[in-house]
Amino acid sequence: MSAPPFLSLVLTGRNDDYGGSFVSRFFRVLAFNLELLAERQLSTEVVLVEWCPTPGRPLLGERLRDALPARFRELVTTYVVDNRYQDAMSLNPQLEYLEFVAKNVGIRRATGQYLLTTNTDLILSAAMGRALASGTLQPRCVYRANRIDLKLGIDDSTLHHELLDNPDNHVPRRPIAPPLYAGAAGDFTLLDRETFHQLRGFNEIYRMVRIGVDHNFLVKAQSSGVAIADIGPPIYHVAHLASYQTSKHIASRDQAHRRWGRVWHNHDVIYDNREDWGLRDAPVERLSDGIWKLGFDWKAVPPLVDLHRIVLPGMTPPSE
Amino acid sequence: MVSGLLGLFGLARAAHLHAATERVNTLKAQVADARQRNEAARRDATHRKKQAAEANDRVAAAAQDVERWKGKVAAFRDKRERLKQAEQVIALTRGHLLTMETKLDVLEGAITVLDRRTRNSVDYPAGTSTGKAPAPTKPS
Repeated sequence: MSAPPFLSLVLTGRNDDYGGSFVSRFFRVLAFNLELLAERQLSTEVVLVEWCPTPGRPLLGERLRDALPARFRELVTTYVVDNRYQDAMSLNPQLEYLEFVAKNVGIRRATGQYLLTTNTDLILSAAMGRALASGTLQPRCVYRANRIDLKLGIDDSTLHHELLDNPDNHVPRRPIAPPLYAGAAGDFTLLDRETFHQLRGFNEIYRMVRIGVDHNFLVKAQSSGVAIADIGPPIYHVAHLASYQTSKHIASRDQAHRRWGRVWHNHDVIYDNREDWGLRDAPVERLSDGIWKLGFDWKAVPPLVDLHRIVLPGMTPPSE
Repeated sequence: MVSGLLGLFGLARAAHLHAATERVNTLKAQVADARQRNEAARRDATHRKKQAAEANDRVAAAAQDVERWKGKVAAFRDKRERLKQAEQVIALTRGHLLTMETKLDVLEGAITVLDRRTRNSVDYPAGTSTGKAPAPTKPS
């Protein structure tokens, strides 16, 4: 049995061309990030959670396996989650994608010493590669990073560090600040696996939104005595029309609710996920090399309502 | 000699008389002056007594003020403590309110989901009486 990798990249997506050129952008970014980590000789795995794939389209995991350079293919494990989980678990019929439940599926199954939950269009900087390889990461500390948005329309067909590091290509953005270092937290949440599991991942009690769940995790971590720190180097994000930062200004209220859900009390109220968080009890079936299917079973679905698990920070969580 | 002779008759020389009269006058003036000073000293003493009495009154009033302020400070401290406690209660109440709102959100979401599931699983044919139980057409 091989040693667990140092780092697990936990990602979620599906082959629906979200934002126009999602698939090609994802493949390009992932290959770039894996190349960077390989240069730093960091053992890495990619856990891709393909949440409720679009019927009639090839699986994202299959397309990824075909598109990635051969040396990276075996690093990727894809979990394809049965479509019925979205309807069975959602508390907001308008919401199309339970992003953080999907990430929990990956967090539960990732094997790395450290888990980096991030998004498919986030690019690691060269300095980030050095920071990850520095040997200075500490357990029980959530590491956050400043996200630098690259200008909309920039040619990202070939990614290279000169393009990314050039300040002329950057869009000014308020830096993250203590105590929570919040702000686009879903783009970079790095934590050791054991602590991630102790915290039981992201909120999957309040399954009504995509927005603010990442911030809510930071509140939960802080109230549980887990440190939060800025790792230092930035990550990059190529602005596109479907990204939240861009489209929140142009989406109608109805569109916004469907994509992200409503604003909620994510700064004040936290959660205590069930022991079976992350679809623990979903039956697993191998589809092909590196691609697994999480089949549907009501046993794996948490109850629609579990009110005693909605708590205030600092309050004693309910016992199992 | 002349003085002695005049003295036998109870008389004195005019010069002596004049000198004695001057001494008497001087002594009288000294007495009057002493009386004036005495009077002034008495007035001064009375004035100072009055000032002392006023100062005593002011000290007594100040002591009362000190006591009153001590009471006010104690009351202020008490109010500040109660304010702190009230703030804590408000923060906790606010937290509970937000928790309740969050729970209501979840309940509303669940009801919406269940309503949708019910509508999807139950078909009401046109013209069905409301008194009849609907037949499920898509059993789960």
